[in-house]
Amino acid sequence: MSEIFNYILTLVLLYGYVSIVVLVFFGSLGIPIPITGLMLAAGSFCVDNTLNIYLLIPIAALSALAGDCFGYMIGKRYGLPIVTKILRRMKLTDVHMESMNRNLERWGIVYIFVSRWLITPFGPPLNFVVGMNEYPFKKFFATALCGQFLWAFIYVYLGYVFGASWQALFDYLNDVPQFFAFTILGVGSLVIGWRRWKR
Amino acid sequence: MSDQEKVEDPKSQTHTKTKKTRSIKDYYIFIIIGIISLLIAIGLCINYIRDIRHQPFPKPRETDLTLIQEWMTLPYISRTYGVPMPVLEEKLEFDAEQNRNSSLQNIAKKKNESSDQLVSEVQTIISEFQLTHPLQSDPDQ
Repeated sequence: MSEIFNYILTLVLLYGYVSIVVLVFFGSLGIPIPITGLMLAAGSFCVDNTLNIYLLIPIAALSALAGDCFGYMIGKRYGLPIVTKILRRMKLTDVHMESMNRNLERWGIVYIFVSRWLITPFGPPLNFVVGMNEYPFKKFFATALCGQFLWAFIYVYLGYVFGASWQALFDYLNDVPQFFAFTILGVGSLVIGWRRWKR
Repeated sequence: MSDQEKVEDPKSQTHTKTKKTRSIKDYYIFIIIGIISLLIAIGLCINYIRDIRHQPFPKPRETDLTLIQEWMTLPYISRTYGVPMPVLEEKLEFDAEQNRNSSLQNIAKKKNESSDQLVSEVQTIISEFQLTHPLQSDPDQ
């Protein structure tokens, strides 16, 4: 485990829920904090009553949700001007943006939900994208809330079940979200490339 | 301009060729990104399978002494391994109560030792204590 992660774990032992709130919030914004591993560790700390599992799950879920909403607001406020410049350079037009909007309207709930707990690397950038596309906030909030509670429950409970063995479990689970993320990115890029070639 | 003139117009042909060239370039970029991403995914999968073969799946609630790490604090170790703080304090010859909020890494720095050395000392203290005071089994298991 890295030095930074070791330091984070000590902070959680010393400052408990306050450190969880801060770390999970900033992790959900996209700052590279290993919050999934942190949830495993925090779950294991519930075994010896350092933390309480019934408090930890809602606190972690709501902190992550707060980070998601903040990311959404940043996307909504600042996303379009920044991205428009980039899209023009890539020669993408309003037609492509409309296509993205339609895709989000149709599948947005699935993308948001799955990126909260399974394909977590996509979570922070997706918050920005849905905010930029003015995806309905209530829908985003409700979906992200469900996804984050599921995320917090899965990883905290796994940490609680495995106790001090959570570190070995972390080694097993660490690459799973990245595997799914790269697979989806790869398949998605090939599909888009094939459609363009067909045109 | 008649249809024949439009077809023969060199400017419109050049424009069509330029559009085609751009879409071909986009196609290549997406294909390359797709292939690289899938190769990374396959690499992660192969590494994962290799790790599983060499590393047994962790057992729930194992309190193996080798799991002690330098980021842990003494109160946490005391609770997890069932060793009272006064015992740790006495054996380490260190004011553990004053340093409750320090990780093993920071305590090692204060004692002018390496983290590995201190972790090893703590493991020895716990194993000696557990010989005479076996850890009670978890009623939940």
